Amino acid sequence: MTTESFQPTKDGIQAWCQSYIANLLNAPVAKIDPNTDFDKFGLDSAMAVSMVLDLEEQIGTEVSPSLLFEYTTIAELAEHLATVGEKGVGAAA
Amino acid sequence: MTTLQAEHSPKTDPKYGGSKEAILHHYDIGNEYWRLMLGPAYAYSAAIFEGPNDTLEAAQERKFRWHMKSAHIERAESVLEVGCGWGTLLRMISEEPQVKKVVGLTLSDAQTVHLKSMNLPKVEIRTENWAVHEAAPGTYDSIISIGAFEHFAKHQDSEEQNAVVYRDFFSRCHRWLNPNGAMSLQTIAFGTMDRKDASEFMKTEIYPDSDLPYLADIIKAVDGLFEVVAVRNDRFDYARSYDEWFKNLRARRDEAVALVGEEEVRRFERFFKIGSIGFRMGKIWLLRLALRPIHNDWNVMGTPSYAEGHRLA
Repeated sequence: MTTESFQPTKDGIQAWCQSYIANLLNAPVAKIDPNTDFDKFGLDSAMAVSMVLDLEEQIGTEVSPSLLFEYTTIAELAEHLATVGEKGVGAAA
Repeated sequence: MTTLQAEHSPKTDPKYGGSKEAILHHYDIGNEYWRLMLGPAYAYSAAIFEGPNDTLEAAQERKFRWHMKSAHIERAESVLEVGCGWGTLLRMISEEPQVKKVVGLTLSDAQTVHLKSMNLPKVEIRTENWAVHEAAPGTYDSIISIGAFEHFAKHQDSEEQNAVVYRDFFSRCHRWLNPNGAMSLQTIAFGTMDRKDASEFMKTEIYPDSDLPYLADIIKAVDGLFEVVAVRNDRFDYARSYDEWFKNLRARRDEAVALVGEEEVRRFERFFKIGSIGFRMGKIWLLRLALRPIHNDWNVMGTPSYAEGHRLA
């Protein structure tokens, strides 16, 4: 999870989330399916908050908690954030 | 009085009904800092939002108007607010022409300084716990308490002890209220989560010496004292309020860090996100209750005036 190699593209954000959740759950990255709903991983609210805050730092733009309930899989969230990032909406200075 | 009530009282427990230390821990980190997060409405409780383009300020005013209606301020001369924050509602109530006196209770020294500096007409500020507040029976026509109930009980106390505190609070309010009066309450409550699963972060970092009720705790505590005219669970209002405060904090983050330091700002960012997610998941609820005191007299309970007080938006 090094910041240097990170790209805020859909794939970059998706890989980051997979690795982050794998780490939280002590599971192999391969087991974290990007098309599985977040709640199926058994994430509690504290884990979800950690992920949102660390993801914000990683991509440099705000991640509203409401997004987790609109884009309920890693793939959907990553796609949304990558699109928002491209448009420059709320992008970091 | 039961043994538990005798053992659990302001005399035996200085933190009974609300711990002053816990209040100072959360609220006295600086009025400037709170103002920066809360914006011009200067209100630290869930607003009532309407539509996607609503502003926090308009939504906060709508929330206060709802409680004013719920507590029937329009016909009140004497009003009590338990937990009056930075005085936004006290000001609105004091502007009502028929209101003659408003008493605001707080435990926060920083809020007291701000409230006194407002010099509101007809308003008396008391830095005092409700558990030691003294008022003659029937003193108030309306009682409002918004976002204070969360501090009445303590997570380290037993559920039985907390039930005594809740019952005591409503008993006192019942006694202080004019039989034809009304009460409006707003509090966070446990929703689908178990009391024992409350996170250490919330219990130690944010609200030490505090605890949340379940809706059932409130219903039990008002039984025979108040009739419930309305209950709303507006949990999404609180999620959105947290999101708005988070945005305010982020927009002026540098100023916030200069005021309270990086660590404190991070703590609040995390707190607002946890709250927002918790409300969206339904783990916690935001309850608003309209209550009327119960009396045995037919000439109170069945009168047209009482019936009129039963109407709510």
